[in-house]
Amino acid sequence: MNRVMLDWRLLPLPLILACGQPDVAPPENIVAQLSTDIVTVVHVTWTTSEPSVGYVQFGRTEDMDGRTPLEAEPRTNHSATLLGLTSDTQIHYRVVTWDGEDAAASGRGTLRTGKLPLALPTIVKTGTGHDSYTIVPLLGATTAVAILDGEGRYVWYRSDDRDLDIYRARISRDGNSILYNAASVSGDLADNSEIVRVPLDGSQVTSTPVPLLAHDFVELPDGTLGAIAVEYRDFEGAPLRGDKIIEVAADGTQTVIWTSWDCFDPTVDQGDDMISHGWTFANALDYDPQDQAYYIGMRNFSSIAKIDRATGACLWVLGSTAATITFDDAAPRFLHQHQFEVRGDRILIFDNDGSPAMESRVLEYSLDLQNGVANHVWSYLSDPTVFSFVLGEPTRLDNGDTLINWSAAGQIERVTPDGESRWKINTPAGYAFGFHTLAKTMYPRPTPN
Amino acid sequence: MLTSLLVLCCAAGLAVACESTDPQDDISNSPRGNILLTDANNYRSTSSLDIPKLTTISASDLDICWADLTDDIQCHDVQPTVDVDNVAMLRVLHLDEAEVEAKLANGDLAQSEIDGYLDYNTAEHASTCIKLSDMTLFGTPIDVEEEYVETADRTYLLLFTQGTTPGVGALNMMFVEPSATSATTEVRVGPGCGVLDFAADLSTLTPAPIPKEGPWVVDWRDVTTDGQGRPIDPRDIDGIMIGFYEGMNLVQLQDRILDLEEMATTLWRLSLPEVSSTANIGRAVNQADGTAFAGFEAGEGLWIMGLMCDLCQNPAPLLLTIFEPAPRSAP
Repeated sequence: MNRVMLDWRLLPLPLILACGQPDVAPPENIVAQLSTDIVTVVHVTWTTSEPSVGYVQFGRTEDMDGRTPLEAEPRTNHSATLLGLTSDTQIHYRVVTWDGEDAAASGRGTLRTGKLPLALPTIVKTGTGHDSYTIVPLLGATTAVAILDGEGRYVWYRSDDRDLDIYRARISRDGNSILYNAASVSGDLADNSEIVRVPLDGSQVTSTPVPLLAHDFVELPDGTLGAIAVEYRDFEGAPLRGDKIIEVAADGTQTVIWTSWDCFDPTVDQGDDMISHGWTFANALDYDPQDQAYYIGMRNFSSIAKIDRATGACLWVLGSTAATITFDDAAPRFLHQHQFEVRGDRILIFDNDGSPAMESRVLEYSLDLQNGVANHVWSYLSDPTVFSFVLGEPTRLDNGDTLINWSAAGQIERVTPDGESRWKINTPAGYAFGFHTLAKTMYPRPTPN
Repeated sequence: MLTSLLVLCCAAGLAVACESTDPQDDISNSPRGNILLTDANNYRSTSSLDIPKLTTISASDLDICWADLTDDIQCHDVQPTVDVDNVAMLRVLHLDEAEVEAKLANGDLAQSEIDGYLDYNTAEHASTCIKLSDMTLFGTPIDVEEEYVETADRTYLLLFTQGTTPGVGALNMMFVEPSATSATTEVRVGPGCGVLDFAADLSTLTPAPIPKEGPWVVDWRDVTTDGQGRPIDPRDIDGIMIGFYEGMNLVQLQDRILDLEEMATTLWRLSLPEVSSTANIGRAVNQADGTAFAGFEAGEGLWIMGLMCDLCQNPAPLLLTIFEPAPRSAP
């Protein structure tokens, strides 16, 4: 463990950051040390003689352009976690205490982050212009969750050695943890699947067992987790593989919100690949807190449904099976799609198999729900084309760009509305990406200016 | 050495005209070693592949057999019934056979260039033949009629490996080309010797002087290119090999470069668990008896050190150099 204890008595008096004389207890006993689990994470602790709030200013240069969130409550024993750091990098930091008007800061300390394990694949970046963090599972020769910065550098990672895959990872809404699903959807399903919660400092990992978890889960505003899991029911004398949405409350209570049988009838709505892949084969899940509705994608239906959380009713279905929305005549259809994004009256869809050639693409439709029509408005093929036989996810960014995760092809790409590829990261052969989430900052709570 | 040339589906530094991320620029600030290596200390090598090809029936099942795979691409003996643990098929996108061979030899095949990977674990070794339809996509069966079809911009590569880590431990390879005009349903892969052409030149490198007394901390941060002249990425270096070759000369080593491990009088290895630019070779372990490296006290012969990348697509040593120990003091 790399641990630095600064003797602050040898350093200059605390800097005065605000006008006037500081009337704030200066930070003392400052200790900075690397997380034992994640070498790009640094813990800083300090004390003050009087209760106060504070934060840590840090960065790769002496300018220290990063900030941890201001502590919420005054205290005398303080701690902060430095996030977003790259490996084997010298960082500069200092502790700032703050009482709303005056502030005092420690002298500047330095610490070196640790070295990455070699099991993580080399990511190659081309282009510029992507400044978000990408939280994404790595699949293939290594199973891990990683957070990559806009340069494609690892700033957080956790390998997971259990014999399961990880399909989705996200920062928890409270900003303290990474959540991910450890499951298996290829071949035999996993009875021991679970949703794993890893504090950002890597300590005290906990998990919630949810048998037969599938590809995706969401976190609702109140912290409830909604996840896709497989459900079997008898159909013509044999077990039929359908799906359900199951909610896991903070106390661990699990409630089934919806099943495939709530909206569909296997004698009528059969989709394709029913023998080899099961019936609905749900593979993507989103949640709309405003409408209190889930969106669920079903591979074998090549359809996406909006589901009322309270009743389990299907509000609409777009796609090839059980559809309540039709496509405009010229619209390309998606086939065996995976993730999607509903944003206003638009829906972006990762279309794995719908292109006439063996190539994956992203399609965007405008949804006219009054008339029940989906109009094709945008599409994108990578150049050169890639094929992601599973997974894949598009995300529309605030400036109109679209981030496209060509998962199985080991490529994440940012493209402009005009279809210009401006930024791309690629894995070497043998590594794929799971579904991604994005974060503008590693700190969901506001940080001091 | 080269126990797994052409490790597909594993970590590799990509020598393409892109910016590799996380360049470890801060490595240059970490403490230096006392044995400083530069490009001048590195060997030169070339590698190329000539993978056999068979045209087969399209959209139909195949019998894939390896009873004739009696030696591997390094010309080492193979027992087909015992050594072949996994059979895989890669479908490569937008690259023809020559381009695939070049990418594999250079170790820069990207995941985006692969649009299908199937394999079959032969752990029971009950047979030396399988059906193409026995292969799965990580457990998911495939529809051969849809997935193995004549196509203009895809190349199918069969890979026979020792071990079950995808792609690691290639014994031999074969291109198969589905064609509507072919009725061939049987694929018999033969010996691997001759598929790989690997040559090394140790004669032009500058030997690295080694102090008589330890510690021996090797520092390679100033090595910028690998043996093939491609940019070196410190993240690829996962181990160090040290070999002593009693009574041997450079020509003998070069002539049998694929047998470096087999020829060594004594062989030590050191695994690197994390990205590094230095390593204390005093921690290397004798591969015969498990003892620690004790120093450069041996008879007349050559000392060789390699920076290894066992999981690279081309795991030829990234660096291979000759150590020149300081003369022993007179007793």
